[in-house]
Amino acid sequence: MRSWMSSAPTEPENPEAFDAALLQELANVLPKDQAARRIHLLSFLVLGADLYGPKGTFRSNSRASAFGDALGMRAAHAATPCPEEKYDPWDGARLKTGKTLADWIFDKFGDKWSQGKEVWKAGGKANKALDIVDILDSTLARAALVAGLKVEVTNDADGKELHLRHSSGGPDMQPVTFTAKVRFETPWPGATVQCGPLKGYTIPDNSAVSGVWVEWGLLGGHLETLDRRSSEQLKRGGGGGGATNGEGKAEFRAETVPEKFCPNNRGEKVDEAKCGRGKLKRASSGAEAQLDLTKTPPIKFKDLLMGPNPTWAAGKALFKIVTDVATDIATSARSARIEVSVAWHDGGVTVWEGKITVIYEHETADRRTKFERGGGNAKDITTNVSESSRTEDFVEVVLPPAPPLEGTTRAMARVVHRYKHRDEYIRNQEMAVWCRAPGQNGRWRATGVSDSSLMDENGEATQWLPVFVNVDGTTGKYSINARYPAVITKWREERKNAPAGGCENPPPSSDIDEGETSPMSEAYTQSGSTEISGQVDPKDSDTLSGERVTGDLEYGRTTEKWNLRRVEPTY
Amino acid sequence: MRRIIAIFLLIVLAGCRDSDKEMPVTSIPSSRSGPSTTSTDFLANNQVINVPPGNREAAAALVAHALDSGTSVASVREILTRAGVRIVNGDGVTLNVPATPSKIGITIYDFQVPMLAESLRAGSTVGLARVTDLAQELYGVSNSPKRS
Repeated sequence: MRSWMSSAPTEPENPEAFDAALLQELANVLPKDQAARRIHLLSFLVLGADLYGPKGTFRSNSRASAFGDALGMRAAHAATPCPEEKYDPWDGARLKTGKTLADWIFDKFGDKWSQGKEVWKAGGKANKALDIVDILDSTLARAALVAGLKVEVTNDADGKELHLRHSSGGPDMQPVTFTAKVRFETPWPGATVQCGPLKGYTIPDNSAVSGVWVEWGLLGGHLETLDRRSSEQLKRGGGGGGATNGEGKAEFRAETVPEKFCPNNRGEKVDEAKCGRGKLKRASSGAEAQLDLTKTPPIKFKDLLMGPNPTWAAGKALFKIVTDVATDIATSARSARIEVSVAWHDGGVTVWEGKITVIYEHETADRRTKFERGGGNAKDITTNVSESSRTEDFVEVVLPPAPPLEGTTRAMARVVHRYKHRDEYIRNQEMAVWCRAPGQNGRWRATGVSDSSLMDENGEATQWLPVFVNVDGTTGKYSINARYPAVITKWREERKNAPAGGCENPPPSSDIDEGETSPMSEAYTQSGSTEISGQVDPKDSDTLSGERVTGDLEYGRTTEKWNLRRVEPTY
Repeated sequence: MRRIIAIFLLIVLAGCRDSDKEMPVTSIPSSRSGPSTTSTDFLANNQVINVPPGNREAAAALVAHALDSGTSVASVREILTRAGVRIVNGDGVTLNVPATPSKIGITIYDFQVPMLAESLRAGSTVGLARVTDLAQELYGVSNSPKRS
């Protein structure tokens, strides 16, 4: 199927590419969290027929009928109870000439269906193949029927905002009743279908559906069940819920939960000084109704879909799939859930969330060239020396919106301390050296000498440490003090040397040294603290932000950046 | 007698036109043309939709129309037609000319078209697993030894 979906856009003129494009477009309009695992009912019908039904060319008798009618004649088939519509499965784009419908089904289902294949062989291929088509037709027709099943959830809050409680019970309780109404709606109620896969089926009236099992769920986290009876309506693994009454209704009662810090029955910490204090916060909460149509009795859903005296004998076993589709359809509708507005005080507790970075950088670079006339065995010596170093000492403090430590105003932050250092020394010499090979005259030979040394030192430590943020409400001055951990570094130095010889240079040599925390890094790798100070912007007192650069790269530059926001903690 | 034969041939020819050559657009016979009562909701005579050429473009436009209450019924009717699905009324009279290759094993009634359109707009969905469940259920039924 994936191949079909992906190849369809490359064959836009292929008539079958429409289905793939359609399924893709229908998936695109689903919410992102559903797109990977749910499909519209329309997609289900098209996909089901695509995957499990054969295809052919449709020869319409009714078009002939229309033509005859236009000529003032009655088509022959009109006299029969049901017109026989003709398909030619051997003429379909997917079918090879001479292939039977049964062969097609065997091809489609492959080895998985081998057992069925044997049965079909024994019982007669053609009849079995037609069974599949009939059953599929009946199943999909009934699956389309469940589009008429509606669930609508309402509440009696009448748009009023519900406030979270300041007590574990009593006068400030704000109960709300959610009502799910289940009904069946069709534009053709009460009629009996004369022909086709629903032949003999009487379409139900547009009426409430009683006896449907409704399971409730709470949304948003600001509501709880009102009493034990309501609690029993909640969906639980293998239980919970209740049946709709004669009016197709099921009720569920809830109330707002207590505010944070207020008396509660949950065993959570109570702080009377903070209960009912602070800024007013608003959000939505609500309830959703989910149907379980597999519950029997008193559900009469089977009658609804199949009629009280079903003649759809072969398809009875497929009632389960239709029931599952109906459950999905009714439960997933937007109208099956509703939200109410809730409000609460935040207890006046705020924390600072954000990031502070402090980076110290120091760079050196030197290049020099020297020429010496020389003498003896070496002359015309040009020496190029290049020396450079870079030191970086980095501290990052990340404050999450977590509540302060119990009983304190201290916030914990994730602190990263990273140290990097590189030292590079390169010396190249070009010169002429005196060469006197045995049995030959002496001569000057041009050659070169090089020395180099490269040292790298790195280390990083992470720790959760307290951060102190103090804001003077009178002067608006603030200070942020953050500690950082010590770093253990590893260093590695590689030295190379390529000397010059008289008539031939000796082979180059190299050596490596390694170790932990070099003496020159000690000043940076120890634990310590950093303090940042500033003035609160009166227009935005909930933000502390700034950037400060001191020094320069040659003598050492420190860059401090901070951006903290005052937020309600996430508990 | 000759006239009757000619008319009969015309009827047969009309019924056997090669639908491959036709644009797969919904064709709704007048309610007088058959012995049936076609759902007026299905006809949705006031709904006009424009569909661009090309499968992808058409699918995108039709889905957008299907989500609009003013055009949803006509759009779902057209979607089913282009997908090769036969739409019938309660008396079994086919109300559209499904695109070729037509699907065998699915028939949608006229009264179900507005229901499907509303289901689409209501955001109702089915678990993707139901598609594979369908295979298992079909397999189970097909194992029955005799056709019912």
